[in-house]
Amino acid sequence: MNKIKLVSSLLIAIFMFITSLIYADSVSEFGAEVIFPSFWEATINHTPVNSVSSVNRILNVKSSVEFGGYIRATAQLLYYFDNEETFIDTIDKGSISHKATFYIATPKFQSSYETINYQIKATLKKKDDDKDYYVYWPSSDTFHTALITKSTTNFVVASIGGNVEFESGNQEYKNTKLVVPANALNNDTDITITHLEAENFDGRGMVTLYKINAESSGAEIVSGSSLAANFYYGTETNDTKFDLMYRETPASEWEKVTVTGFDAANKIISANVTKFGEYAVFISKNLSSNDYRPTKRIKIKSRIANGTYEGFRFKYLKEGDVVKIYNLNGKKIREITAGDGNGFVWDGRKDNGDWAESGTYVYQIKVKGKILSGTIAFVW
Amino acid sequence: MKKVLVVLLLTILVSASQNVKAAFVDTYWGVRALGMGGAFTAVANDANGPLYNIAGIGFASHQEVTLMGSRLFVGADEVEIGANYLGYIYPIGLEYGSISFAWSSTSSPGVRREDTFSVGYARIMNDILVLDSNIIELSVGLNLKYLMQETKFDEENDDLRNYKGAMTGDIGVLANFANGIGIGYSSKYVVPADIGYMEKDEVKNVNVIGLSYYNDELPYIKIPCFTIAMDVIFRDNENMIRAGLESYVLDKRLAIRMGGREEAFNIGFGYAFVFANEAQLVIDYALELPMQVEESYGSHFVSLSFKF
Repeated sequence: MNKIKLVSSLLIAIFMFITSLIYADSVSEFGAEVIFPSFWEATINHTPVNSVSSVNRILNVKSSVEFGGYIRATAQLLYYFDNEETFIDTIDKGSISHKATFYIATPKFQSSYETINYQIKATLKKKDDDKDYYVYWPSSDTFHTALITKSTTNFVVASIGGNVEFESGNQEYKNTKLVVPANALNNDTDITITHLEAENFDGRGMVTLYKINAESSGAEIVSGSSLAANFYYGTETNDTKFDLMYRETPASEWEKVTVTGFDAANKIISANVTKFGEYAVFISKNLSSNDYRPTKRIKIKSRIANGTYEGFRFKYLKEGDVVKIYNLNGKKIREITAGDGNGFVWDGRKDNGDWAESGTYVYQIKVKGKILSGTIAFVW
Repeated sequence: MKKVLVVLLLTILVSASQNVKAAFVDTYWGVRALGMGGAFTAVANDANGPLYNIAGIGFASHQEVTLMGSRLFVGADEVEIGANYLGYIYPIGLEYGSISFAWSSTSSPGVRREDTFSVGYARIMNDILVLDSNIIELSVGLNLKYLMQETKFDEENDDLRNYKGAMTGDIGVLANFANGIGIGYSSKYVVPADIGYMEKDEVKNVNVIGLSYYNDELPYIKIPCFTIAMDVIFRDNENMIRAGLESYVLDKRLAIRMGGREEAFNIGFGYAFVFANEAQLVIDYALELPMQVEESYGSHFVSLSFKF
């Protein structure tokens, strides 16, 4: 019996010695200051972000950490811009769970940077051990570089089709993407998606603006065909009612586009694109009668003339609508049928170009088959 | 007769030289006149006279006070414009003439308001011009006016005073011939009145020539107490014509009127309650149907007049 105990103890000791040697070799994979026996493995799972929109200017990484044996973990995002001298900032996620997906987002950064370089770091704790253990992505001494850009270009062969995807840099939601079916184009071409700064369309809440362009001269979408588009509208609004509008050039009038799908969870609006040009997402507004009327009902001739302010603006009107101005004798003195894209403006002049007299005037707006009236005053 | 033409011609020449820029749009109130389409310059023989031709009050035989209220472009949503008029004429006597006091106002609440205060005088000039009253009676008049506008400036223009006023005047001539023809001339805002807030804005001079014809009974169609009238208005580059007619029936108690101009068609009626001492209480109503303003049930005018 004493011999059996002696042999067993020797075998156990030999086994433990050999095991310690094996696990001691894995220290170098995770960092010199950490010792990970195989039971204490940890891995950060993350799909790299290769570009960030220069309009949105937010990097939001999606990640998860697998860690066996540790009792708790926290995560951080470290990043800097352009070169290592343009400060490193750290964003703490806080506590994370084994294999649970989490997101860490930067604040909106300024527009002058060209690259953002980031690293994900997890800090782990063992039971009854105050020491911090770390795991990194991509590695402890490297950062991944994402380009800050406003456009992406992909070459599409007309007979095959293809996809063009503009990476926003926010992995919590889907990207703006264009799916080009085979034979939907008349020519092979580069297709570019450009993310532009949203315009202030008379306060009508333009949320985001994209330009979709075929770079080859003469390249068009074949009549009867369409490209399936998903437009990511960003995180700056929590509204859920949107309009998608199209215009060929910045000088063109906006036209409404039929929305084929809306994914609030991924902040995507879908539509079939039949023309190249600019597409904008607006917060949808059910216009009431008062939305068309001028907010300022009194204007002074000399202040319109010297540009202090504009004339009477009748908002949201477009081609086909009409504004008529009458004096108190009921005589029409001006008829306006065109505007500047943000509605129609009466500049205080009559149809013959002369300034109208001081007085109270009646306006009538013909919009969507309705007549809206009101009074305004134009004085000298 | 020659003297009449000379007086008329001189008045026109004097007034025509005052071709200045515009401010107030010349709007016509007076319910009886509006029922006749506003063609009243060669009629003007009641308390509405100061509005159309001050010389007309020279023919007044009774005191008269009239009060008018109205609502313009009824039915056009968000249009709230009202016009009011209060007029009083007092015939002092044939050799002294008649005087008038009047106030007219047009307002759009929250936006703008125009007020006109006037004091007028007119006299039949037959004795001075040595005219045969069996042929013609000629009256000449002068109306002094104070124009005031109030504009409800908002924060965009809150550095400006809301009120601006100025003095001006009208002159008028009215000749009534024994054969029923009347010729009238009125020159309004003869004195330049600057009511501009930030720059010179003088009220536009308006010259009006009116013609009328009255007959106790129109031949052939036998319309009683029939008046037909026409005004030609000369105003900068905008000239216009107004025409109308009026007839009294039921022992001259019920008046029926109609008239119009390019932008509107007018109808009206009035009824006089006659009292023992020849005093009359008259209710007049006029409707102006605009031809160009859409979705409107017209402008409605009501007045109450007391002649005593």
